[in-house]
Amino acid sequence: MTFIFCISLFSPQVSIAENENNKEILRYTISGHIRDAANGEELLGATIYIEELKQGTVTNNYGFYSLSLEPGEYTLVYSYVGYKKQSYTIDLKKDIKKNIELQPSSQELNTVTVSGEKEDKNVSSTQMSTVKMKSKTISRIPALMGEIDVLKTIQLLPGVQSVGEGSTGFSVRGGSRDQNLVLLDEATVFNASHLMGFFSVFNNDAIKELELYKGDIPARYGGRLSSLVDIRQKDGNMKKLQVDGGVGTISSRLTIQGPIQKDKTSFLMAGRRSYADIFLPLAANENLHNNTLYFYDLNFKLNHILNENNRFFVSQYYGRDVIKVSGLNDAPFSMSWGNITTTFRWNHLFSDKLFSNFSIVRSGYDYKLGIEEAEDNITSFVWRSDLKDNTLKADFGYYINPDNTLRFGASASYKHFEPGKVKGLDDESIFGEIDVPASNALSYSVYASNEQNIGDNITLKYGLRYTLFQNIGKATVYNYDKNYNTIDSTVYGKNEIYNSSNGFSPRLSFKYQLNKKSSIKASYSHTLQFLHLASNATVGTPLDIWLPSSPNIEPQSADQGAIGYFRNFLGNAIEASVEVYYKKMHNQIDFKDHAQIFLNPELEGEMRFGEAEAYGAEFLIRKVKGKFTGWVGYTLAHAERTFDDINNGEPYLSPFNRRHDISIVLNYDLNKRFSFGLNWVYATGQPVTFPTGRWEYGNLVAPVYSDRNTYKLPDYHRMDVSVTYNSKNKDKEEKRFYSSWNLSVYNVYDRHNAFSISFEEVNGSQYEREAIKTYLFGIIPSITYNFHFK
Amino acid sequence: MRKIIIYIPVLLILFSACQEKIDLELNEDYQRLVVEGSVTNFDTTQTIKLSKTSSYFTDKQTPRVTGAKVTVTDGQNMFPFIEDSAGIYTSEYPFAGENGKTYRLNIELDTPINNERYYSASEKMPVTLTLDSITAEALQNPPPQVTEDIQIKGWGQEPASPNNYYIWDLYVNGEHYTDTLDERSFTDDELVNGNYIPGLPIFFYDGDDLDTIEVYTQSITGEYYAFLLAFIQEASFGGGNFSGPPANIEGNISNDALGYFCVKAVSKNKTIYMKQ
Repeated sequence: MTFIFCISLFSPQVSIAENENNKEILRYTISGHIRDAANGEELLGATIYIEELKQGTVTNNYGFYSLSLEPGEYTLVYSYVGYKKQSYTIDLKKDIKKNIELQPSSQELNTVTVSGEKEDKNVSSTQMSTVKMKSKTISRIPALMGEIDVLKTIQLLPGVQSVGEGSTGFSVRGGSRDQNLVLLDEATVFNASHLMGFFSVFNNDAIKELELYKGDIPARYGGRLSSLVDIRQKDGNMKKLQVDGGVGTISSRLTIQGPIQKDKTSFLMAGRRSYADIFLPLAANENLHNNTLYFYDLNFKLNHILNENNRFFVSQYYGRDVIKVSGLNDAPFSMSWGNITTTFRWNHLFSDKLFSNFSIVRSGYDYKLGIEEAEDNITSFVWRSDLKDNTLKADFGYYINPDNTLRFGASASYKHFEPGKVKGLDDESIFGEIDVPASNALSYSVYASNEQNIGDNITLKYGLRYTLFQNIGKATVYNYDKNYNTIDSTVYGKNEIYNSSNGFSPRLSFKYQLNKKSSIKASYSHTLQFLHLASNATVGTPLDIWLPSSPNIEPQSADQGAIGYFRNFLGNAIEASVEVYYKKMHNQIDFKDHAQIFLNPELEGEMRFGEAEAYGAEFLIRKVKGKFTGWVGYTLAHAERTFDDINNGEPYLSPFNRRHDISIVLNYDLNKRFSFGLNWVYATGQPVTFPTGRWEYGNLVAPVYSDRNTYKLPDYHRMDVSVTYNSKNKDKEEKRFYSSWNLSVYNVYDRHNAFSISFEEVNGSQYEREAIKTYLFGIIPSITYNFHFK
Repeated sequence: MRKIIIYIPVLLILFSACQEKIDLELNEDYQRLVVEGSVTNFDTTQTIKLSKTSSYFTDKQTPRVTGAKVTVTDGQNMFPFIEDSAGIYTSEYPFAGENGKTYRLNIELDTPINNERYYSASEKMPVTLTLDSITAEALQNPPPQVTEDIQIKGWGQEPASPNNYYIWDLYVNGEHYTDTLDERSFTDDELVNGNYIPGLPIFFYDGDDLDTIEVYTQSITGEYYAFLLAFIQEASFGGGNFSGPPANIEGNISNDALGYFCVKAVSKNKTIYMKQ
């Protein structure tokens, strides 16, 4: 409703203005791309400022900008933090193409650019609840085992919570793990973790930048309730061959990029492999000696500029984890899982004002486990699960005039789900065959949004997205009564559409610029989610089961409102913000007590549906310039759920609730050779359910539990430090070769943070029990060597 | 089949976490009555055991509840129970439950627990599964680490009605071999409903020549079956972030009491193990 009201309020103004102006006022367009002069990478979010009009624009996700102005003389200033500004005077008498290459400024290279944006973007942009990070920033934060990780870095921001020690899984503003959309070059990454979540699948060397939306997600994205993590791979150096690599404690990396044809075609190839398994023979437990345990990632990208109006990109990611352990009868138990994504994109300029991008995206996640080479054949089995998503997308940006930027587009996708299939590999197998029925879904979306300046101080952004989601056969659907008991099942034929759900997702945001240094922003969004992760564990495992909305599962939806005050100090050197949010989530999924999640064809009958609510305040102060940089974030939050069938219908705390959460991230550049990093995190303990007594039945002792999540784990806190030594080349960008050593210490004061608390028998007697805390990491030092040449 | 899930913890051990003891303060004010009892189709004295919850970190058995008035009715007859020993109530006279009849347990406590004096539960007796025979044979080529190498199998006609649930209980030479719940065998009839059961493996046990083997086939309700599976899962609970949150198990006793009053149809088979 709000949305329709706004459209009617503002669009007439636009059209009237244009009608009146059409006859008298001509507009010409200046457009082009802004790139890095050193490697030809597109600069996303770079600023073009027109001095005469005191107005400007920023480049889009492909480095493209377009400004339509009345004829006249203008001075354009092109800028991007970390690069030298360039001014350019034009006499605008016709449409002009102007590509700009900005020189990295060596002086500023040593400053960490948390936000590589227009200097006052914190205050001047309409967008709120968003943080952008460049891979350079990420690489300077102390990391677990020296493995730089984008997904762990965002957990250091207010409003983003780790789901468990060392985990790349995260919760945004009280939402579930599956409510985060993680995109790599526009392809959905369904399970972004390696090694049970300790490392993410993203090789930082291959990544250009990351943008996190905790709310106010642009209308061009949809499908998840709580957040969007938009990760973009580097395009590949257009100027010269470049090699980056690193040798770390648990993995090594190598990235090669360069031009195939200078300034026209370039490529990037990156690989990473862990070698933790090399150390297994040193383990105290002999059973581990013959085990296999590793992961690897491959990134590939090719891009080609055909001409000013057409550009192509192909990007691919392939990663896998492999584990093999000796199990029963020496038959190796093996498990492997991984993601594959492929994106093909075509940027096309229909005119200087109309930018378009067409994408074909394919992504998949699968896992397989079993005993495949057992000598004792009756125990051999294999368990497979698979998920595929194929999407076609078209996105348009129409730069009407400096006051209006219209974005619109459409997408269609086909998804195939195979939740799990197990079979014994022998006729006399002790395992029966279990086949959780596969299913398919189609989804279609269209959207439009406009960003509109009204006067000098107000900017509005409004958009609407519509999604139609359809389940199609061939499928077997179980029907349940109101007590979730299976009544019967229905089989649908191939390509038969047997269920549809749809909905509108309006977005609205507003900025009021109080003065040059401060602004107030507010946003509202309604988001929908049609894919659901079946998991009742807080920490992820590789055994993810994604389910589509279906006759038994309504789409999840959320309404989120946020309001914030943004202010910069000391000539934009310090950015500060306070945001308050409230989020109500509907049709949330939890599981009944003692639910059977794995290999259960009637999984939908184990699901329970309810409401969730989250609210909080986020405070962030960042210093983005100078020798001393970093940020301090604090979140005060509450997240709870209410389900009729869980906890007797009483509200209970979400497992992702953390009342207080503090993160401090500091970086100090002593000189060109040495820099130091430090972070400290503190969070209220995770809510858990503990026994409040015991009872006996059938000669067994069992606990009596408290209501759900009424206890909490001990509070979490940890400090990490790092020191980086750079080889002596003074001006790094211009030398052919330079290298650096990084020494990191994770958990420097060796706090044993509880990962979980369990209750175990003492002396083999079930009558004697004690509480046991499990912690994952003590103090962990690591060393990494990085090199670069071109 | 679902036991292959047990491999997942194997993987977790790889990231061998460290463990240490921690002191916790648990709020243990809330006490509850625990009922464990049954009525069977055997013409015998039936038993009901009453106890209550205790502090989690105690090292003793939970306290028994004495001095209660316990009765069972089938709608027409009332069977009084008398306290045999502390907390153990047996029917004053032997009686046999009948298939299809509903039995109701009534308890009146001497001292209320959690302000409740009266408790009740009722359940209907399911159909009986009578096995024609059972056999006990040594496994031909048992894997070296297996010591329980005698396999007991059962033959018999499964009742035509769907949704039957069974537990098997084993006595060897008069001794209760499966005296804790998690040692018993459980199954439902999903795969065999209405068919002849052709030598279903029921137990493996470690025994000697000429052992007398008695197998009790207990036909139970679906509710009790679900209760038992959940109970065994909770009793062996390890906790952790990789499984769902733990929760109390709903039994069929009123007023928030724990436990279960089950009504089951039992049949018995006997064989002698002969080493060949």
